[in-house]
Amino acid sequence: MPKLSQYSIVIEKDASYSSLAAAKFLANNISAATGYQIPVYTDDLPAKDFEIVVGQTNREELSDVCFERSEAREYEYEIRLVGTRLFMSGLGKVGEKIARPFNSYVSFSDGAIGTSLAAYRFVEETFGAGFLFPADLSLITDMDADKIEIDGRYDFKYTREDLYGERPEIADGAVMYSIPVMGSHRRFGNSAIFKASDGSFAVYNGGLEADAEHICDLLEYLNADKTQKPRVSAWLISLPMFGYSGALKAICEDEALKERISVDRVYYKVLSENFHTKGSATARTEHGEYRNALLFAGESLGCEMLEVNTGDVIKAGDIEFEVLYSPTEETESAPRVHYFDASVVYKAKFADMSVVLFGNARKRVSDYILSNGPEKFDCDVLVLSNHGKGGIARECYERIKAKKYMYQCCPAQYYGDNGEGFASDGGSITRTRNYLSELGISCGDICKDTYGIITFGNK
Amino acid sequence: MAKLKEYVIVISKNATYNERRAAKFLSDTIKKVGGRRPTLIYDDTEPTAYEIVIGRTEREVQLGAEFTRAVERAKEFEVRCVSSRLFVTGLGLIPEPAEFNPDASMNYGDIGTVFAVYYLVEKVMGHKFVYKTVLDMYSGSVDVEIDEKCNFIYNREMLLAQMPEKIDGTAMYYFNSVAPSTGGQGIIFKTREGKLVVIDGGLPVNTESFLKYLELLWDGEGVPVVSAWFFSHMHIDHFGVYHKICTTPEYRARLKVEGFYCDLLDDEFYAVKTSEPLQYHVEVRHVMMSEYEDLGVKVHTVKTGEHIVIDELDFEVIHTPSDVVNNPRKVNPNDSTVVYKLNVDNKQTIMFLGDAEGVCSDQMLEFHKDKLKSDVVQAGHHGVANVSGECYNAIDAKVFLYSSCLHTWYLEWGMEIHGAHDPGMKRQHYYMTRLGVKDENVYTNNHGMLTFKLPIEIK
Repeated sequence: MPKLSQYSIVIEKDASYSSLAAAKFLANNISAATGYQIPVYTDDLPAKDFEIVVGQTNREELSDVCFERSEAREYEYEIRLVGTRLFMSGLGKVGEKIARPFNSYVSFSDGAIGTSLAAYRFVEETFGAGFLFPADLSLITDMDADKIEIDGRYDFKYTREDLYGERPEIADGAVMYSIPVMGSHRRFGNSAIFKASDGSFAVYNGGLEADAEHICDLLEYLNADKTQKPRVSAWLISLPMFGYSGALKAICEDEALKERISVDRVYYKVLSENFHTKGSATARTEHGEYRNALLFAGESLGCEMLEVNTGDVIKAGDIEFEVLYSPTEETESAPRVHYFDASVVYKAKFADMSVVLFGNARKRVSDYILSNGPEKFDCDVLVLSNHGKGGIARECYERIKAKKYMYQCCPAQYYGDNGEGFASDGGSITRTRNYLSELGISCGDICKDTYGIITFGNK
Repeated sequence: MAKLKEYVIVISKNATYNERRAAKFLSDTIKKVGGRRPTLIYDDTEPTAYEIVIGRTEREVQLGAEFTRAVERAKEFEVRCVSSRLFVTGLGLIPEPAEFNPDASMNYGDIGTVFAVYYLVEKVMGHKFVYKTVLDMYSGSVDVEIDEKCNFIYNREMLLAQMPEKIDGTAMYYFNSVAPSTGGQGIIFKTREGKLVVIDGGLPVNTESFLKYLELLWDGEGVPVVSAWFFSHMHIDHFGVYHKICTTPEYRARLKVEGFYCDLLDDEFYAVKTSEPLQYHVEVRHVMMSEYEDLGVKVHTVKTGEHIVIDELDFEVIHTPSDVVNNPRKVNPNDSTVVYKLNVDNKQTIMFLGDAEGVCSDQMLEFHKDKLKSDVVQAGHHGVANVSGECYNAIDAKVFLYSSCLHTWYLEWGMEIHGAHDPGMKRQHYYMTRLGVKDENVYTNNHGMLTFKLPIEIK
């Protein structure tokens, strides 16, 4: 079996920014972990047998490899071993977009972001997650490049079709499925389906509008009684915003989707239209649209609409949701209030376990936890706020003492590297990781739905 | 005396986030360049012979090394060889914890230690990690000898003590701020005949130093006479010195300015129309447009295409904000930059982009593309979010000048040395890579002022 120490990195002669960044990242991490100064050269040089091919190059023709690339696949990627040549490539259509008007602050988009994400995946799979924890000295990795085999385990495909095509194991009893949101390349949103022992469902958020069909597909798949439509006894919304209430909005607006499921009750909280559209930091006109669409859901779906308040308990079969925090009028008038401060925080209890769903909670929740006591927030699994980007103080994590932490996020967020043009709010994702690291949370206690559905409960 | 590769790294048993990440960065870089990871020990162990001591540790007491630390010295650092130990430390102190702010940076008052390690890697090891091509991944050496030659202090006293070197012939002096890592832009030219020309000036804190520089460089009688003071745009790191001079009679008495060249837009632009409306800028505009008798200044509003010639220096106005003020996009103060192209005695051209951003970039490409080609370019907006790759392609410079500071030069994504501009800096590096700019033709004033004999030698 070929070893990493036999390999070189090859990139296109006129490589895109993201391919260059990917090659640098790979070489940096391989040499720092193993001491092997992996050679890097361009594809105008003669091919060798052992090459890590980064991005789109002439080696594809040489190895008779074809990647299905398109503009819509910019954030998707594939890692594939063909013979002894390891290909890692984004599936976007490569080429710097010479955009006018030119925006100096926009993320760099050259169609090849997926190549950078592929390089991150390779490093994570090979050397662990140490690169994500820049200050954790316990995660320094030292390995021998002569002992790292380049073999069939490097076979990763991160595409919308693959994630949408995934079907989880249908478990008995009450279960939570954390669902990757794939409706957008940059996947700002989160989604989970809870299945109660009686076969009914609760949905948490649901993701983007484009995820609506996927949610319906999954509910139908998980529904034990195929003669009946899946029944969602509770649809809980954390925030009226595209990545959270978007799927519900899309279902309300699509007769065919509406026909596929039944919804008993929608639980939500909205503040004044002014708060959503103007009054808070990052308020936008479109947030108002999601707010109003949410208020329309009862009429559209023929279901009950229930505003939630802190302390409410919602029953969905044998699953219980406690409302740990819900915004109030006071939230609206708080100084420097952020739109995410309007997030509702739920705690799900099922199958002898508890999961706190922070949504996009920020400082208001953080302050609430510290001033009202963290006991209510104690849980087995803590779903990190804002996809791990963090709006919650270190002291909260310290006092809550969750056993496991979960990221509901896409690779571009999980690999939080703002400089690559990933929309990750780099500093804040690093800060939250640092909190976990300083609290002694091991990588084994951190999970993510980035690459597939995560199931909690039953087992 | 020993070589770097023989050293161990020492950090405090209670090292801070920034000290740990600095240690990890150095450890990874030494392994990447030299193939072997240095041993890492804590300061609760007995001192060994060859140690790189990172951050604040017990070794300072054990080995009698004293450093002057203060909260306000967060961005300062020192690299000092004491016997066979190399102390690499920031000079800040961790301040009392402030109220939790989800958007705060992770600087924590000790970012200087990170800067110190970056300095060691860049200047002592010679590793090109800031701007480098992918084919030059392993530059630098671990065989460098560690001795007093490594000593370097970056603090306010050092910056204040700097004075420009007087040279014969046409010269350009590229100043940095006397306040550590605060940036800004201030350039003085001296013609063969001894005339002085200025672009911008920098932050107000630099006024006294800037006047001293002018006094030192002035060979004529009486107070220094600035033949032309060119102004780029309405940001304090550019207008600060001139504004301070105008508003301080004692300063006005110390020089004469024959012509102040600018294109300041009307009050409404600065107060309302720009994307950063600020009443203060209206007040500054009024100050700068005034013709102070004691200063002898005549204010001249420049027009696109105009030439201002001072001896062998011919400044052509390539772009003015008046060209874009009616642009349907919101023009921010950076995009209200005047762009000048200097022709030095028909031997070299230097493009001064000021802080030009997207609107400028598009305007110049649409209307002045044929005039953009230059031998040297001042990287727009301190090298962060600025003009497009298409614009840099048209400029096609061989030499890049950065008026930067440590937190822009050492941008490190995800770790909040300088967050918002990250993609812009990386994008700029990619443009330079694509243009084939050599490392030795990239100049930055972030560790001290630069003196150039014009024309600049292109290596």
